Amino acid sequence: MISLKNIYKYYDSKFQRTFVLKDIDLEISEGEFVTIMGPSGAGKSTLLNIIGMLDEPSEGEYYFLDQPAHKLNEKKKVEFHRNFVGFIFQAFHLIDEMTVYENIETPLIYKGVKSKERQGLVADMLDRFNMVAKKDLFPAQLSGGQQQLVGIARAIVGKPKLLLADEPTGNLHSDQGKQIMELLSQLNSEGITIIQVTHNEEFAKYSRRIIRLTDGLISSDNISN
Amino acid sequence: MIRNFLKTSVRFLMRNKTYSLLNFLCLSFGQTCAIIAALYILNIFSYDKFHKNYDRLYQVEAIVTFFNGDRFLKEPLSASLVGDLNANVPELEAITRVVPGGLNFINGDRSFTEQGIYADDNFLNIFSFPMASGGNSNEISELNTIVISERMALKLFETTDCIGKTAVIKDNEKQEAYKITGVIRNVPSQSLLQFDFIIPLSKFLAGNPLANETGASSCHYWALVSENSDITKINNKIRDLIKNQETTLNQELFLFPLREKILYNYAGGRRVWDGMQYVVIFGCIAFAILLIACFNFINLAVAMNIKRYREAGIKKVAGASRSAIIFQYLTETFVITAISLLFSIILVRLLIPLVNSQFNAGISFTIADFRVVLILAAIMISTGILSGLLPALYLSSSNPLSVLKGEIVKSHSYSFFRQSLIVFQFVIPVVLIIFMMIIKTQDNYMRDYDMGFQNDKLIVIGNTRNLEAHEGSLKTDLLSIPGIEAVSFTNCIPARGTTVSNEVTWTGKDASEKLHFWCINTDYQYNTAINLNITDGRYFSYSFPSDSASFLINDIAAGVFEYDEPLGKTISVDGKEGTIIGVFKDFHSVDLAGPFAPTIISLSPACRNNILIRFSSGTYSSLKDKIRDVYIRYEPEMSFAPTLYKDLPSYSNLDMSSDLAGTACFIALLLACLGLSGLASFSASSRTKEIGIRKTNGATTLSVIKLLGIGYTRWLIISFIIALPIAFLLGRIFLMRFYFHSPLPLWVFVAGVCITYTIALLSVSVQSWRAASRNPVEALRYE
Repeated sequence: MISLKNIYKYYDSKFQRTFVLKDIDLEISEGEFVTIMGPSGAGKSTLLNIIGMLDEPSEGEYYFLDQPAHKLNEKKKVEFHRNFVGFIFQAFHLIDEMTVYENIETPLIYKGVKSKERQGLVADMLDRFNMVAKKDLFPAQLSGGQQQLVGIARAIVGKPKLLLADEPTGNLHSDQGKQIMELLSQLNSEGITIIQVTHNEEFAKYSRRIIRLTDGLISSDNISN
Repeated sequence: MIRNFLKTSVRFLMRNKTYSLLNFLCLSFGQTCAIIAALYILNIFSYDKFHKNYDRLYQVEAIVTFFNGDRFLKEPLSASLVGDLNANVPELEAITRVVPGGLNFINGDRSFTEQGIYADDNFLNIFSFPMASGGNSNEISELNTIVISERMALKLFETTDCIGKTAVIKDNEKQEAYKITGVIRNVPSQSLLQFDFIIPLSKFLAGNPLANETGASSCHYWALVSENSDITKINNKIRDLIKNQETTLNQELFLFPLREKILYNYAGGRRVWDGMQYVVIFGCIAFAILLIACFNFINLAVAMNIKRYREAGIKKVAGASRSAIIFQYLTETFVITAISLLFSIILVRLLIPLVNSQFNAGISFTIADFRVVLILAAIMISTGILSGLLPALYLSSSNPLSVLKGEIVKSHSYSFFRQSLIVFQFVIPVVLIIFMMIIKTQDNYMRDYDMGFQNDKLIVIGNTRNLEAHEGSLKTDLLSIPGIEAVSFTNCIPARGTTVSNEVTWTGKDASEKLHFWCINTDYQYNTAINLNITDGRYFSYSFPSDSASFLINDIAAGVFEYDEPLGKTISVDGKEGTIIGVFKDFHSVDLAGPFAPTIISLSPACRNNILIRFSSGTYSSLKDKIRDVYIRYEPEMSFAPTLYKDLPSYSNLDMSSDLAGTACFIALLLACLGLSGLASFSASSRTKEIGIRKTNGATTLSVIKLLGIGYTRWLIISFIIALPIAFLLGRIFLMRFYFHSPLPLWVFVAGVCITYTIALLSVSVQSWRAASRNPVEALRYE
């Protein structure tokens, strides 16, 4: 599903080139649950952003579902975001001016889903996450764990093939974190490919494959059963 | 989709009330100005459109070349010209002659003075003034017939059904009856020709045989040009019609289209802006104010969008395309614009009477007019796009990556742009303030200018036939009021123009030459009243019985006559011969916009429309009532309307221009300050942490205010640097229009800058003080 070949990411300052990612080769197939780990500044988030097409590699080729993603134009990238990927963030990133319901609905609107169908899909999500009673609340009125639930609901309401989670539990305490991780592995078992970035060894164990990055290089790639 | 956009937009606006209110106010004011200006322009451009032949109507006018090469426009032409025009120019389908005049109508013991016209009987065929009753258009063919307006019919007969009734016109002691043969609807205010009655021109010609003389100034000529005819060709044909009769008259005829009459005028033989001037001034000022309002919006929006940048990033990640974000933001802008437009419409309704009375604009405002709806739509759309597009582009350029990483978004790349907006916003009020003060200076200069006569303590009242008839006893009665020194009947209010004559001859004159002279008809007291600067000889005096046939001339006229010793020489004016007994100097008979004109003063009772009263002691207000008592004794029917000479409306209409510039600069300054204070509140809040840290390190409230003030001072100084040369140039161009003008006053530049700077700093100081006086602990905790 995802194939990265010789991916480099660097920043040029006056006399110096700072490398963030060096020569990354990575294959991720559909249905995997991958964790990217490593110390701060190792390039984890950059790698995730490149996979999510929020960022572009400086060099290298990236194929998503056998399409050359590094050659996609702005419009195609928007299509990609609409149809294939969902994002979950450490800081939740809900829109303050929108209720829970509307936040979940947002991607569907951009996808052009009809109003009736949207209502059904959002209602399903609210049901699944037990948030029906909270649907008219604003993000500021929710706890951190609940906000992240809304974030996940928003990420998966459009039925993406790939879910990218950048430290989804980073702002949560451990009970809430556990709950979120269980939800993610459940989603994975339903067939969504998940790539997460985390510092937390315990939460890394929810996934079957752990990639460790050090200074922009893949230092280990373990697949457990 | 739109519904969703709107919902979040409204929530955002409700949560940020100061921001919304500021934007709303600025846009409302801006749009109000734009609407009023558009209505004003619309009004000017809809003049005379109701005429069926609007595009084919032309006034035949003449340009006269004066002895020194000066050229001026002459509208009234000889009544006999119609024959030449008809014979030589077949392209003129019809010609009608019009003579405007005021007449006194009586009905029982009541009497009214009405303004009307004498016109040829084809007048109502050429122009489309609709008849209320009477039907066919030959209503004004018989000698003693009259067509009146509905307004006048109601006044005279209290009914509009008055065909066949008789209107009585009182001229001195003579009364004459006219049969009413038609009633026309009231002449629309958007008509160049304004009148309440029409009397056959033949009636006028019967009483004024001189009107037929070649070169006479009696009738206005209106011509209906046949379709598809070439105006330049006609102009070539008619140009020399008068010259061919009398070479020396030096008058060239041309066609002045009706559709341009309200917009243009001729000065010195060149076409100049008349109404067009106000179209341009109103238009430019309103556009500038609207721009300020939009820039405010942009500035505040960009400042505010730092908060919304994240939202845009999230939406992009959720699959929003760039255009969707632009579209959403534009929708939001249009919501604000539409709400403020509604408010503007209310404001316009409230303000229109004020504008009409202040600027004599004659604007009306109805939503029912599709042109008004178009204007409103155009203003709303342009405002929305002008103010919404830039912030929308900025917002949509949000890079989701940096936003979501939690980086603090700074709009550095836009800060230069935003500062230039502020600079521009302040350029406009500074220029307007300075320009207004230059206009005021010139106005005062003209009022106080030594025009070769004494102009203070001079009262002007209109002459009437009754007063004229009792000249002697009126003067005796007025002079018996303590404080009044002189009472003079004249046709010339100094510097307000007078009668022009080309029938002046002198010894040594080339007999074929006909030059124009400004002639003042007056009495023995004119000099006592205005105190002429007589350099040679003397003024008329009762002790010289021969003076009734004598003249005073000014130095310019002496130059034209080429008399080195003019005293005792003989000249003849309008066929009346007499001796020159005095020469005066530096006297402005016309106005300060033009040069000195050759002027001749004679003792003559003709055409004396005004009475000048000079007083030496007492005040205007105390004398006014006493003069009224005398006035009523001789003229019980007219209302008494005296004016102090200095209060006369300025000849060049400077009051209106300076009022306009004043109002505009007030609004512009208000808007610019609103925007600046809005921005100040955002920048103060974004610097809360910095201020907190500075204060914990020992900065005082005052030093923080200074720090914030310096930032604004820099922008303001740049805008002053840009504004001053613009104001200087505008001021120079404006003053150059006047032949006699004040030097460009330098103090107004200093004053303009100081005023703007003070007001601008005051408007930000509240915000600065609030930020600076805050407890630093609180500020840092807040962060």
